[in-house]
Amino acid sequence: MSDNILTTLRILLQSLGVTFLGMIVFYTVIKLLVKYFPEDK
Amino acid sequence: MEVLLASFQKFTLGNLVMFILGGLLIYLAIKKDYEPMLLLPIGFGAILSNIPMSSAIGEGGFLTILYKAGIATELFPVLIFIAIGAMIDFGPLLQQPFMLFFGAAAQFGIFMTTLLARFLGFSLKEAVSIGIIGAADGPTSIYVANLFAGELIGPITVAAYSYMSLVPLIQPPVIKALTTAEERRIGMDLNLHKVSKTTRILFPIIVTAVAGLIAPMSVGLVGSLMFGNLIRECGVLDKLSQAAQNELSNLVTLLLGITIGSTMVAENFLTWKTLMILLMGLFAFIFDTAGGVLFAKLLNLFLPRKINPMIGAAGISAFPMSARVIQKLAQKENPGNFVLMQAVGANVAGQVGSILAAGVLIYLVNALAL
Repeated sequence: MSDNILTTLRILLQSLGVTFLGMIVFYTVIKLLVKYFPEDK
Repeated sequence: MEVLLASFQKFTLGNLVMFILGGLLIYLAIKKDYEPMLLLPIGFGAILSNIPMSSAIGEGGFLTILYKAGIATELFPVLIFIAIGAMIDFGPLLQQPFMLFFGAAAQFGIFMTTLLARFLGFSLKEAVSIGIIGAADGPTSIYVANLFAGELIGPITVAAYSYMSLVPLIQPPVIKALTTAEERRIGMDLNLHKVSKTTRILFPIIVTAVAGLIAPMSVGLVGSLMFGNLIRECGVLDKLSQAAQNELSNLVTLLLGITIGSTMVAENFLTWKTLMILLMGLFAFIFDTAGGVLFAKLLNLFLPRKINPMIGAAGISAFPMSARVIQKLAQKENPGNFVLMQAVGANVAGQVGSILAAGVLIYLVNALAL
């Protein structure tokens, strides 16, 4: 395993990016759910 | 006689220090009310495991059996997540999905602390385990530490739970240093729409599927959290929901604490690494808070209606303590200011964000090791 600071930095940036990407997806999911299932009947 | 004195003869200064430390944790739990459900069992477990020739640990010791059954298998953290899921009301987040982004920004401490740990000479796996203290989420810290740095699980868990209990002391000075009184007085929208039951039921199912596709390693944690939440929201499993929130949560917490305490044997715990981990844990919480606040301030540069930047700090997943701290600070600046719903939204978003970040990190580090 190449275990150096640059590798760590790359992993951290990827992780941060994917976490934000995940949140964008969840945001879209919630928006769609609220739009298509607005009220209890 | 010699046999009877054998335990005394093997008693070291390290054992004595651990007795004092265990006693301190018990004191903090009882007298200061700092996470008593965790710190008291951890403190007592530390005492049990530092009695020389203790039958509680080692071959056949009940704490070692519990460790192998509940920590080494990751079973306890996962069961705790089912309980947490059953306790969490995602309503405030579903009403204001924008809060999700604070749940990501307030994981900043994880990344900064991992980097710091690497600079201090820890291996990548150790550094990531230490960085995850910044998830402000005990079970996630235990889960990752067990995967990557089993020998550091004691100090990491103690740091995670101690700083979670100290959120009311850690967050306010950081927030005040990064915001003006005027910013802290910003009011938030109080007219929030209702969320349908269908949305509440579909949310945990879809999040599990999506998170699993994005970060398969997060399924264990996200899946158990969302399973607990589905039990809560479905409306037909009230007994199971109550059992998860009470009996399951209490029983697993009790066993989890004392088992973690049993890993705090003097020769493993009393090292420079422990001291550094405790300091880095504090660093992680400070940078989590700063990350959330600064992200909110960045968004305010572009948003027509400004957000109270303190809400960003609630994005750490120390739930519900952080949200309460933010509400208290907001009311201190303006007694009529009510930001609790937004803060709770950011707070539960932090729960999702911390698990997702941990899952992604586990996946990336494992991929690197292959």
